[in-house]
This record gives sequence, C-alpha cells and structure tokens, in this order.
Amino acid sequence: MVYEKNKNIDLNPRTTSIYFVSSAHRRKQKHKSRWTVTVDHEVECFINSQENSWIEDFVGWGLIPNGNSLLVLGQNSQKEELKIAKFVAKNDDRVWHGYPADYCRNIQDRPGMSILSDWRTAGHIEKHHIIKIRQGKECNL
Amino acid sequence: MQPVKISIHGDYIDCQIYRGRLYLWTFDGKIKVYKWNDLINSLPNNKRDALPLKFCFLDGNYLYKSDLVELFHDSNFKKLLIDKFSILSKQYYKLSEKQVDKYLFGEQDNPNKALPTDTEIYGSILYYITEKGLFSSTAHRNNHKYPVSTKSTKLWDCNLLSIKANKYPQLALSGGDEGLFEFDISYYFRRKWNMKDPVQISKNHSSFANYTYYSIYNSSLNEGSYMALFDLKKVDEEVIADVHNFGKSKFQREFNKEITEMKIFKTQGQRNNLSWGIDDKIYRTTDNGFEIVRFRNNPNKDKGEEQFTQLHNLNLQAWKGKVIGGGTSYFGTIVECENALVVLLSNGQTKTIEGPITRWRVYPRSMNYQNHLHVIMDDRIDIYSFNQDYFLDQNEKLIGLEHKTQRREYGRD
Repeated sequence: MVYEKNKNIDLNPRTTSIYFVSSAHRRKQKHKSRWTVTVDHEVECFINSQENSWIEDFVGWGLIPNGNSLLVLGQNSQKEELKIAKFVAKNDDRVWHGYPADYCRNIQDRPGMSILSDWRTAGHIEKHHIIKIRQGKECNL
Repeated sequence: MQPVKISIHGDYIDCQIYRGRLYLWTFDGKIKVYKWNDLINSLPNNKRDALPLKFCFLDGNYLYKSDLVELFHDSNFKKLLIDKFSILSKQYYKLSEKQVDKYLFGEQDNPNKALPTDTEIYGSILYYITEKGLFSSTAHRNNHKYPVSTKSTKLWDCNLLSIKANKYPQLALSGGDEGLFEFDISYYFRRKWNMKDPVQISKNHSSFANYTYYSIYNSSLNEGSYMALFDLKKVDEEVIADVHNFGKSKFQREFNKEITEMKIFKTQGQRNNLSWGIDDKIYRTTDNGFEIVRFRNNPNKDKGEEQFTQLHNLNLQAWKGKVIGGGTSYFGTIVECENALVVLLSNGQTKTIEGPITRWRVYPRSMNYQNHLHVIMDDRIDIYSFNQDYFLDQNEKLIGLEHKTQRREYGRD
C-alpha cells in the first residue's frame, strides 16, 4: 500500500487511529530526527505499535525487526542511526504522527520499562539493551 | 591475583548489597532479599576457606585496618594470605536459585510494580527511579513478608537516567539533556514533612554522576563532562539547626562553580572519550588507555599543592567497543564498553569480563563490600571479590581510590 505525506491516513480496520505522515520528519532539520525508511515502513511501524498496544501515557513506541537486529528507521541531526520510533497523538487522541526516537540524546525519547520488557519477551531486544536504553547508553540494537 | 567469584543463576535486572542482605530485582517484578552472611557462611567445603571467604565477601574493609599494614610488611605473612586468596580464586561457586533460596529473607513485588531504571540504598532507605519519577521506600526492615516497604513516597516527578547517593547526605540525579540535579536527603531523615524539591546544579547534559568528596563529578556521554565544585562555608550559630554537621564545626555546603573537563585535564578530550570521578581520582579514557588526575578538596597552596594534579597517562589496549560507562572503587577502575567490562586493577593487572552485560555495580562507600563488583548477565549475577589492593601502598597507587580512613560513614552499612 502506498501512503501519502502530509495527509491524515485512515487505517481502519487495522486500527481505529489515524496517522499523519509529517514531512517535517522527512527532511534535514537542525534539531529534529528524520525518517530514512519509506513512508510505508513508517506507517507499518505505527500500525504494529497500535496492534501490540506499545503505548504508555498516550505515547506509542515502535520498531521493525530485521533478522537478529532492528531496522534503522532514521537518523538524528548528527547523522547517528536511530532504531526506535516514537508516536504522539495530535490534538484529539485519534490523529498520530511519529519520528525516530533519539534515546541517547533526548531523555523523553526512552520507552518505559513495561514496553521494553514486552519487546524483550517478544524477542526483539535483549535484557542488556533495556538498561542501556533506560540509561541513555548506546547499544547494538 | 585473580578475583574470587560467586554466580547466582536467575533473571535479574538490578542488585544492591546492604548491611548483610543481598537485594536482587527479578525481571518478573519481584525483589528477593537474601541473608548474605548465612549464604556465604554456607559455602566453604573446607575449614581452610572460611576465613578468606569472610574477607572476600563479608568484611572487605577488615584487611585495610592500619594495624594490619605492618603485618603485610612481613613477606611470609603476606604470602600466606595471598596464597589463601589464590586457592579460593580457583574455586567457582555456581549457585542455582533453589540453592540460594534457602537463605531467602523475604520476597515481594516491587513497590509500584515497576522495574527500576536505577536504585540506591542509603540510611536504610531504598531510592529508585522509574519513568514515573524518583521514589523512596524504607528498606532493611525486619518484616519477612515485606523487607522493603510497599508504601513508597514519590519524591520527584522527573524521568531520570541514574542516581547516586553520598554521605552528606545527598542524592545526585542525572537528568540527561535536562541537566544535573541534587536532592537533599537529610530532609528525608530530619524533616520529612518539609522536604524540598531537588535543586538544579547544572543545565548541562548529565548521563551519570558521582561524588568527589562533597563536590560532584558529572559524566556526559553526549557532551563535555564537568565537576560541580562545592565549598564548605562556616555557618552562623542562628542557622546551625538548619544545616548539616561536618565533624565538630558547623558548615554549610555551597555550590561554587562548574569546572570543565578541559580545565581539569588541561586538554580537550576526543569526541568518544569519557571521564568520571569519585573522591580523589578522576579518569578520562583515551583511545587506548587513561589519563588520571588527582583531585584535592582543600589543596595546601603553601606546599605547592594544586586542586587538580595530572598523575599519569596509561596506555593499555584498544577498548572493546565504545566506552559507555565508568566507575572506580578501591580495588580498581571499571570501564564499561559496549561489549565488555574492563577492570583495571590497582596492581596494574587487567581483567576483562565479556558481555553482554545488563548492569554492574561497585560499593566503594559501603563499609564491608568495597571489594565487590556485581555484574548482572543475561541468566545470572556474578559477584566478584578483588583482594589485591590490601597489599599495596595506598599513597602510591594510580588506579583505584586511595584508602585513607577507618571511619564509619553515617547511613552506610
């Protein structure tokens, strides 16, 4: 399926939430991370996050498994690779947008323990990744 | 001399050791509290091993006592003790959960049901951080059902990276890009009804921090590290009731200034180098070793002493991946790399512990466990005891903290 940028995307019946692909997170900006995967990957990552209920305090978290590791979703302004996605709801709780989370540099870009535990249980990450992510340390995801 | 090692099988995410109890946080959300002394006393198969095991795991401070230093000048006596440690280091104590559960003091759910990002125990209070903030609960209770109180207090609503307690008593709080903060836990003990919010020490990035006496060394994985220098100022009699008591005089601890890593080491570090400090030593990694600086709280300028003295540059080997953490105890300095822990021992030897490593802890401010290194692996916790440092000249050594006093620190075990 081909999704368009800067439009609300109705994802029914896979999720009742609506997703907005923001072009602001697809171009180089000084203080923003940007997606380097396709728009389809971005939207699939969001749907997967919703389907698995990887949501806490109205913030969604996502990743895309890639063999024994995770797919690089984007990069930060220092061009460092980012493999975790963060999704936030706009205005009402149904319209979401997302960006690659820079957990090493932004303290609010770290998923909580319960999401990380779910990811470990699902085999997406290992236990040592959990503490490193929570403490803002680089690790080979 | 190799360390002595005990492994306890299980799926752990954090650990603490405090006043004869080992606290293990399991991945499924429990805290298991063990009677550590009983567990260690159950280990020796041979009476010969009982005494060195005690020094290794129960009373790591004993052999630092000044009246024993003279004994260690006697080569025969020294050799006898080193041989005992060497014999013990060849044994590997591998314990299953079932075996250690015989020494379980109590087991309970985590307070708040949340897995902690970091923990500290000080003055029988457990401090812990989760994504919901900073909390405290009474620990070391005599209640077998709940060794840690289930009634936790939320001290601050901030999403932190790490915490570190000191004896004054303060809690350094690392808030990543939100900066470095400090929480005065003396209020917790003395004026719980009047607790103050943490104060911001710096807006500069903080990954982790530790106390260099009453100052704080702040380490950043993203930007330059720095020391938040504090002074002790004498306080007027009228306000004495409000301040801490440092020895016989009444002093108040006051923030003076931030000193950058560049000023401390007199050179700009490379982008991937990391520095950290505790008490008298500050270390900065280079691509294949260390730079070491001695910090003096109160340099005697008449004797030509400086606050920061370059001690040495050590060339070792390339680190195993990027350096992402560091710490120091009396027995040596620990460098956390992406794929391993490298322990630089105070006698110049190196021990590499291959990863993946979930978490590691040293306890230099404890009274009995200063020689411990706890390493949580995927399927177990490894508890190492390093014992070479007792036989070294504490003034001369470059690696590891200088062991100076036998004073018992308030609040510590």
